[in-house]
Amino acid sequence: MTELERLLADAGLTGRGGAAYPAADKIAAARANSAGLIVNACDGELDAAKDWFVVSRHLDELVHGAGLIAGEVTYAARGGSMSCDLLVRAGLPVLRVPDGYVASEESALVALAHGGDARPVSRERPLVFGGRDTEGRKLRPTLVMNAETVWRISQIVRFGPRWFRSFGTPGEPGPRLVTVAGAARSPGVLEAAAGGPITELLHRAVADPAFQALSVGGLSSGFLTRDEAVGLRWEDAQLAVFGCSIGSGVIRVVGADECPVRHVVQTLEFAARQSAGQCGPCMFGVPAVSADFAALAAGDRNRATHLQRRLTLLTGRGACRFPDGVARYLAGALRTFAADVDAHLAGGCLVGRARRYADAS
Amino acid sequence: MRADRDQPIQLRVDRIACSAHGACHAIAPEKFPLDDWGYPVPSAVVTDAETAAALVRFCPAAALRRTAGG
Repeated sequence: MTELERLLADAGLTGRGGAAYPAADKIAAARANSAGLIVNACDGELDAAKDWFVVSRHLDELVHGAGLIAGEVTYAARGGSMSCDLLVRAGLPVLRVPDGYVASEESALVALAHGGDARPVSRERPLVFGGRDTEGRKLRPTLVMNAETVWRISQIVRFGPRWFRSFGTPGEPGPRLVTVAGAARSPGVLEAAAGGPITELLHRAVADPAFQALSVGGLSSGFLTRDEAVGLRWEDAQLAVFGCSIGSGVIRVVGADECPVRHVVQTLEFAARQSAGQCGPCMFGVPAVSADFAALAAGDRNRATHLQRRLTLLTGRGACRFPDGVARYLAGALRTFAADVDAHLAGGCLVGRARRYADAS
Repeated sequence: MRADRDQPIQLRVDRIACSAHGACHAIAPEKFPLDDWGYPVPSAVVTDAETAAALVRFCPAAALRRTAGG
């Protein structure tokens, strides 16, 4: 174990892009395979803005951290985004990533960096060991790390593991960024840590005090009702009880006057257009469950059993985890908004100014 | 190492390559039920060597592969 790996293991740093894998282990595997590094600054999750926060405020530390990990570094950002412009202006090598939810997925970035399309590839083991893309092109060993994770590495090297562990909890140590979006008067990125009350994060973002629910982790996690969120701490053990996780640290506030069923319908309509069109269960399954939920929202009771069965057909059946995320998101929505869905099935809506969905589906 | 004829073999479905021809279902219907869109439900199955060889050979999309350990 190198000095850097020991520092990161002592600090307990985990990936901040969503998967929360130990950073020291990833870097050890990367170094053993002489892997190049792609810093993921795409803010790929719905509503996420923390990568932009890191790029715009801590670029020197980001570059410092990246240089500690690998000799060959590329910065991935959405083409035309503010992050992209800033990275290019700084003279850094930038991988311009096209729009699309899965285009910023780890293996899609590696494929793009090797001259292929920004679409996920099948892999039997992590791409830090190398692999092949869908056309059979060789992919060199590549480590993909979220921008916040790389920035934290620089901080840990400068300030030490003890400083890092003075934030958060023993199980989820360190400072971490949270993006609050939706019904809030001061939405944006907060410097926070695991273990604090969720209501404090909402208070800092001046969220609608009468909010109905929180969408946690965008399209890859779940929901909390208002009652669940009040009194809950921002940590995985507590969130997991409700099918949620810290993930990439996004909280979207569903306001008091917003119909949550309509919000879910719209998010699923977006999701239905995000498949890379490679794996059948995703290409057909995600649009199918999206249409099923829209039909429920429009009052078609017969679609409920359809939807429940098809939900089981998404998990673990894609080359990437996008369909798994959509299944979790939708299961969370059905759990959290059961009463709202019932009201829609009866032709109404629990939120004032009921909207009809017949024309939306 | 010589493959034992009776040794069970694990096959993995390459989800990107799979294009719902249904040959796996035709060869081993109990191992490969199909979903609403004609794609095999399981992502990995264990079967005998003879069936495994037929499955790999007759998948038109070459989407069935022996796993590294199988």
